[in-house]
Amino acid sequence: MNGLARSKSVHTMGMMLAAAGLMLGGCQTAQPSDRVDPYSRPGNGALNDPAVSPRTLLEFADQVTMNLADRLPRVPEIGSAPAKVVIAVGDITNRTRTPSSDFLGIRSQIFTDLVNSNVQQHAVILETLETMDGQVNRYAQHGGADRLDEGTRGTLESARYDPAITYILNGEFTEISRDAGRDSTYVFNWRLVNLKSSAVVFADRITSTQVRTR
Amino acid sequence: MLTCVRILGAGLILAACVLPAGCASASASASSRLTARDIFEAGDEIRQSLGESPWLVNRDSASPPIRLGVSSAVNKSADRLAASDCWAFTAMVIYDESIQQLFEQRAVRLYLPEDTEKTLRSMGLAPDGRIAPGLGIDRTNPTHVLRAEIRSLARQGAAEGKVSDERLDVNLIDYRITEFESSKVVWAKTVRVSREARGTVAD
Repeated sequence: MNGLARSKSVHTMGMMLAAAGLMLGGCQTAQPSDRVDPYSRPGNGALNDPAVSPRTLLEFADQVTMNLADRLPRVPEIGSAPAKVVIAVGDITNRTRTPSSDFLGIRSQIFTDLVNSNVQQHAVILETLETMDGQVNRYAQHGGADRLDEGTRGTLESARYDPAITYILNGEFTEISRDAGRDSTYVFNWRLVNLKSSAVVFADRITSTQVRTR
Repeated sequence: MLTCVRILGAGLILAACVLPAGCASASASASSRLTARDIFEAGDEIRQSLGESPWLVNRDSASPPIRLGVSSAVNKSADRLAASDCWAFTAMVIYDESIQQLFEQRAVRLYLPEDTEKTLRSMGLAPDGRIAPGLGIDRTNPTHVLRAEIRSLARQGAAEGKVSDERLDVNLIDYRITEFESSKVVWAKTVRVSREARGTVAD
């Protein structure tokens, strides 16, 4: 076995052992269950969780992207703009019994869907400022690394854009609950807002219901 | 080589499945956690998506060079993941031979700080000679960064009795490549891995 082949073999084994470690560490008492379609209806047990079904959240994310891709070219400020505008995915306000961390996941889904949609023809899709500021500071080499976080290097900022051409996609997720929480109607309001003028250039609402057995 | 990887992977995954089953014979429960196979399958999807991405397809070896930094995946899921597992999510992509060939043809060079490379070596994820000779490692500041995040939507409850006996985990593994100068996301892909387990959740 030559050096390159041996190193590849070592690498392969390393990958496998890392993965096997995950498997063994995670599965202390149980075998893995079968994979299911994330869009399939959950069983009654999972559906009885007070939080909204993941399927509903994924469908909301898909719907937002589809509607935005369909309507964006017809928004005069964007469709007839001389150059691409900038869109960033903002916050989703949570007014339901669903953990707020789930909405960060859904925000991320909307983001990925937008990047892969024809919205890209009209807009530059931006990473969040916090994320990119962190990355810029991680990789910055001016004056050497600031490993102890002493502020000796100062804080660097990622790119900033003209607020007049920047739009933020914000959402609000609310729940109307009946029958002691067994019957929920979820309402997802979302809007595209100009950062400078605060003008809402597009707004939409998506609803879904979820009935629990207990 | 790929076949060898798959055979080895399948063998170890099988062993990893068999061992816990053997020491937990009293429980018929199943786990909805991410498995090793999920990580490998996520890697396959990512490699395919990256290979078909207009961002890469529209480039050639004469395009302005890209220096791609790599971050460990950030675990924001309800699951525990070791640091090596988080690195495996991204290392698996950049150390794949087909991706390295693609990067070489499209003027993309890897940016790996020495400490990152050392970390990956210590985890067995980046041995010597693994980087394609024409690809190399560029130590000057990166122009783009490859990131990944793992999130999960976890639900559990009882279908009939009082004890929770069903759990659903929808894992969302987000990969992105972002340009530093503009913060523009040039490629993004989400892999969704969903598992539904039945049996007493407390087990």
